[in-house]
Amino acid sequence: MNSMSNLSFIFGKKATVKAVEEHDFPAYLKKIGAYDDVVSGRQFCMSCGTRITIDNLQAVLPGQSGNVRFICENPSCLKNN
Amino acid sequence: MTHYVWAWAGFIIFAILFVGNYLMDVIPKLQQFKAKVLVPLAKRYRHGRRVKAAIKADIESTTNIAILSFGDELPRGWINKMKIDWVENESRDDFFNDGDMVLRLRPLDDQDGNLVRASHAFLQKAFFPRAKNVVPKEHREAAVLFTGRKLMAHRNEHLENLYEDIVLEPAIRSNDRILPIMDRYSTLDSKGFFMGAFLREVQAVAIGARFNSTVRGRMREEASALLDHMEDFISRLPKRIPADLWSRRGPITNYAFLLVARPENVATQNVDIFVTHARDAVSNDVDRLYVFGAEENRSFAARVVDAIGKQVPEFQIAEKFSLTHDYRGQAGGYAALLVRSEK
Repeated sequence: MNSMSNLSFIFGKKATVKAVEEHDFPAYLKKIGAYDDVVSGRQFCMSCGTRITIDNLQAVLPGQSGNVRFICENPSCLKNN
Repeated sequence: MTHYVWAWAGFIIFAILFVGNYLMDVIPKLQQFKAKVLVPLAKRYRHGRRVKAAIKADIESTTNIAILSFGDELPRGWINKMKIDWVENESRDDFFNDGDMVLRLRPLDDQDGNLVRASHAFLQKAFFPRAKNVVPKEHREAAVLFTGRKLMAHRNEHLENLYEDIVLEPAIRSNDRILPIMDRYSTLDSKGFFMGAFLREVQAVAIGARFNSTVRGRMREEASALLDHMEDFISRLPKRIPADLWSRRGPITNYAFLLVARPENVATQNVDIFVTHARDAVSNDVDRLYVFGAEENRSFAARVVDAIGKQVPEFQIAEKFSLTHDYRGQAGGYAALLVRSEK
């Protein structure tokens, strides 16, 4: 990479990955109104259909109709984000 | 008087800390230094501000340094610097308005797993912008997985193994088309054609096919045809390549390759022969011309690209980039993409 590209990479646009740390995750789920669904086991991974639990939940995603969608810890399921 | 001195000293110290902290957040190498300091300190705590700062600095620096090592080999505009944004304080409205996925990151004990998952999510988001739904699923996944594995291998063998166990293996198990495609990508990558030409062509075709129902419905066949052509092309090297293999006319793009080769041309700095080839490409209606040069001929290849840009007005230099492997299979290499100006 030439030095100009280096500089534009370093000081240029950033691609943000939104994240919540483990300890804050239950509170975050409560805030977006998804905690009860998760602990009651009523939700499934949007990609592979695995039942979502508080242990295997890896990511959440806003759905188009105001619902929260869930992705399990299988990393290949992140592909559908 | 003394008060002024202390005030100035305080201001200067504050400014140095502020600028230093800013630079440690934006320059990947400095960020890595920050992570090396923060991670051991944060391991004393289970959670909190220090833990989050350490997780963030470690993931961002590792990913960004690895991406910098790819250089500009990936298509322009695909990869920007990765930034972890802690969003535990965002509201439900923010969550829905942003529309972005929110990733759960584990405690520092599982920092390698965090790194693998966050990098994977980052690549998923970055690859094939504006064309995610057009590129065949198995190619989209295989391209991300192939690149993700390279990214982890750049850091160390442990991370590469972890990536294989927690990302690659489940993905391959869930889609048996992925592994054969990754093998083919590996062949292209050994000569710089995976990131250099294939990803760029798939992206160009996918963008062109978005509102073309015929081609959009045949993207799988088109991606395979691109692979077939590029594999065939590089398999002939270093022997003579048949005339019809130097270019390929597809339903959306008509691309050609130009190798800045032949020692006698390099020795005499003769760019004219390559400019003539570029003019021939114009006559043959080529709209995307890829120029590849070996690492040892980098400066001459750059001269050739500039000469074509100046002397063949039909072509404009769209991208100049470095490769991890040149067309001879040696480390390094230089390439450029010239695209046809509007006819």
